Amino acid sequence: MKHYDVIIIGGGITGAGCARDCALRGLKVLLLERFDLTNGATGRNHGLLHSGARYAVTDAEAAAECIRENMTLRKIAAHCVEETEGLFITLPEDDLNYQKKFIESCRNAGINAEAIDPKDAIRMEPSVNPSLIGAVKVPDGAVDPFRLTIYNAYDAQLHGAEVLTYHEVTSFIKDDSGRIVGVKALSHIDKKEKEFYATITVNAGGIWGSLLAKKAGATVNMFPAKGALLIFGHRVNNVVINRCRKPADADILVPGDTICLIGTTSTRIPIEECDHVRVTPEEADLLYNESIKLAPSLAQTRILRGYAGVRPLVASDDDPSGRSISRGIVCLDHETRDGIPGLITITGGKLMTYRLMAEMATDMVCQKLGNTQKCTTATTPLVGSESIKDSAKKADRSSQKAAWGRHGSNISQIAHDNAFDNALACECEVVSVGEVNYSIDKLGAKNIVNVRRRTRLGMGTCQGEVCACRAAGLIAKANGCADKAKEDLASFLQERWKGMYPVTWGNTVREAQFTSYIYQGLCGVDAYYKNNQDEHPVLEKEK
Amino acid sequence: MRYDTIIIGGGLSGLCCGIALAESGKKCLIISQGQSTLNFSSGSLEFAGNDTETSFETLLAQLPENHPYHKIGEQALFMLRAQAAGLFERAGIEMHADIRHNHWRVTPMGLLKATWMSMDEMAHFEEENLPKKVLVAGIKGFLDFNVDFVASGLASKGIQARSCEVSVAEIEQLRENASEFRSANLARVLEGYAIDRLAEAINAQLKDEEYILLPAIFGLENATPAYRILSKLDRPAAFVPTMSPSVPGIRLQQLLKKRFQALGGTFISGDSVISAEVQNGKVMSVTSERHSDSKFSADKFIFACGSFFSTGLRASKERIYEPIANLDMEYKGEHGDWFNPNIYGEQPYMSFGVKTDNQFHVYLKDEVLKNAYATGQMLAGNSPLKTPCMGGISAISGLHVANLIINEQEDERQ
Repeated sequence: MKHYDVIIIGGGITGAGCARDCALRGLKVLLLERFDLTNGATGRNHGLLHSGARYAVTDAEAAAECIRENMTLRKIAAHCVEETEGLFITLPEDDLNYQKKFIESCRNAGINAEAIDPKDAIRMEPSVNPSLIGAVKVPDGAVDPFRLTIYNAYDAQLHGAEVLTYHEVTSFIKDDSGRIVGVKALSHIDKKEKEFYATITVNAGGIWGSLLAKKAGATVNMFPAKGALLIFGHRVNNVVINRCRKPADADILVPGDTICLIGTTSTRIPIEECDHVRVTPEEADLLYNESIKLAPSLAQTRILRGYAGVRPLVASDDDPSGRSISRGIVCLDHETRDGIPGLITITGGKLMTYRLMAEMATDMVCQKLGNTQKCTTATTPLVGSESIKDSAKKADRSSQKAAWGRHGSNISQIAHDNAFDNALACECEVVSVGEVNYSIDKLGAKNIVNVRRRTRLGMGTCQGEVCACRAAGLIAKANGCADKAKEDLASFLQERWKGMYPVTWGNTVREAQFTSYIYQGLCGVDAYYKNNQDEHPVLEKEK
Repeated sequence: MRYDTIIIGGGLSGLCCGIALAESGKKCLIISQGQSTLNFSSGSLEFAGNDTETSFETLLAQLPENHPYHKIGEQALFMLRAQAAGLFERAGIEMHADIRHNHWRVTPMGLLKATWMSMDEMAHFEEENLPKKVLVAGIKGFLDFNVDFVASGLASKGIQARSCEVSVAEIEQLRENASEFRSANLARVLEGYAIDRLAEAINAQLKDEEYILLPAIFGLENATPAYRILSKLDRPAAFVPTMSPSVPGIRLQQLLKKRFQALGGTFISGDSVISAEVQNGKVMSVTSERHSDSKFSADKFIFACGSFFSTGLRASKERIYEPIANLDMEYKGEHGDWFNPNIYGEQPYMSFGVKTDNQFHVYLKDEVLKNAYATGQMLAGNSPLKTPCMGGISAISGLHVANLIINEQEDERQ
């Protein structure tokens, strides 16, 4: 029986960040994720590298945290970040007086916010609504949450951590004194239940963290808030565009690689619905209409898909009614709080503050373990972000350049010295066969969705139409299981359709029909679809 | 220029219709946007049904009431199936079909799918002559034809299948460009001795297999390269379609287009009809994007513009419409009703289309247009994946409308 110093439950950015911090401080770490890394809120947001400006007026503390982490991530996670800048625009229907207060609050929080002439704003971002009456420039950016999480986990592994995806924690193991000494987890790969032991267990389950805490006998009040977003098929803007008003629905447009994203909405939902959130037609309408106000050319841009996530908002800890919501970071020591030694919950916070959250949780873990190592994650670059400029020079093919943008200096590990590896699997996002195989071999991809998150394969204009079958083929080859790969293909197309059908009009219908003609008509992939399957098949080489 | 008939759309339906009309001496014009669903054809046409036993007559009786086949009728459909085979043959396309029931084709997943008519070199089997031991031979590194997928699919049907991948020098040079390794590009280099060497490489892989399946990447212009490799292989062999683009589909379109032109038809490619002029219940002329200063006039007009993919139909958030003449449509409900959340379930939008009378005349504002017809995938009630009638509905309805026009004019003459 293997014993760990710490088990971290949850493969979102918080859990991955914790795993890395713990591993860097020399702890023996196991990260357990019930599906794939980034499966929850981490993979279902804007990918906005917040400057904090959005929170400046309403939550000065969150704003200050954001800008500090923003500046840190630019340094330590350069290959996951794109330094785009951001604009907060005032439209004729907005109150221009808000701008003054906004700039003042930003400056108080340490955010460099500068009012610029609307004409300069149009020069800076030609797609912006030309009828704007005010503009403020802020240091917003874009961050790829998939990359950020996957490389935190990979970095942790390089420092000795073990990462097990598709392992769902079903219960906690307590010793006679009531101390949590480990967990039982069900493997979705071989359907077996396994036991894992550790001195400390960290609950980083995001919105599902409250259900986990309940299994341990503790209460953590969560307020699941659904947020819906739409993805457009072109990158119409190169600068993040926000509305300069009190935060509201659908007022942020973020560029990301080849596309752009509008979001979000905010709707309270029951916790039982968290596993099955979908964009409703009303949300799609709202997002679409508001997006056009930010960048009018979006009216002529194809919508690729819609998706929704659930923010893990937490009740302030000592309010039993649970009415007051904290947007800040919540780090709970269940030993002192609930008399359950061995368990810590880290929750609340934001994608932007994941590193800080990890630091807080790891500090608590270390204190309990008597480990005196200091946190170094604010200064130690993530694997791939070290000597990033030098590695760029080695990328000479276009697929290598694209891969460099995604994997930074890790491209040295992507096979590229023969034509087979250099062949493109995904033309829209320029993903080579070598990169797909790298995502399988090194980054733990076990199905097409996993490959998509690790490489952007299928995230571009064709949304996987051409490349899904190729990716399935490469996964089949790597794992020696063609039938299961075909099931995965069928399930991938269904998953993609779920995001598409609420926004299927114009050319999106063409794309949808094309997909059906090819995969159902020509191929007969539907024969491999298991209607009752909620999750995608998991392909792994037999050990 | 004045024509007897102008056909909008150069896909399977427009071409079949145009050839039949041209064969009877009509002066025809086809205006085509260029791409059609033949670009990803399986090399087979479906009529109806998912098995090889049920007779087409029985299958017809099971189709929903609004399926366009019912407007043609059982007897005429029987004749049209025979007529289609003849039309293809005269265009130099050998087809395999039984007039009464389906045969099996092989999909890129290795599954057997029931189909009515297959290009002769494509893998097609009757239930009783399915091979027992097969070698699936692909091209090394060609991602759009997965030999393991084909082999594992066949295995699920009880056929022993083994896969292998080969290559020859002519193919290797293609690899220099990372995005060139697609079926049509392979077809361009696979001719002459390259084919012979490829056959040798495949023969060297043979063990006790009795049959060979290959990707359909031979012969964009004509079938000669396809038959060349079949003749050089040591076992009976046939082709399985690849992922798009479809080499046999492109060839099918090329040969039909050539046949149409050889019969005196005019084929304008890469142009879109943007509007139609209607007077007194008749289409008078159409205008195209590239010839916007002139009008194309004719006695008859045929809308063979395809479904949503080919932009014969369009959907906005609010409505489904036909973009050229705003013809009357048949569809139900609002946006939320058009799509099934299960991608593989019955998709209502697939059956949406233009409204026609029993002679396939179209309607505008509830008034029938006496000289205008619709054919193929843009017809309401057509359900290409569920019937399934992909290809079949296009060829059959195209031919049927051509017959109607020819017969009507003969009646007038008498």
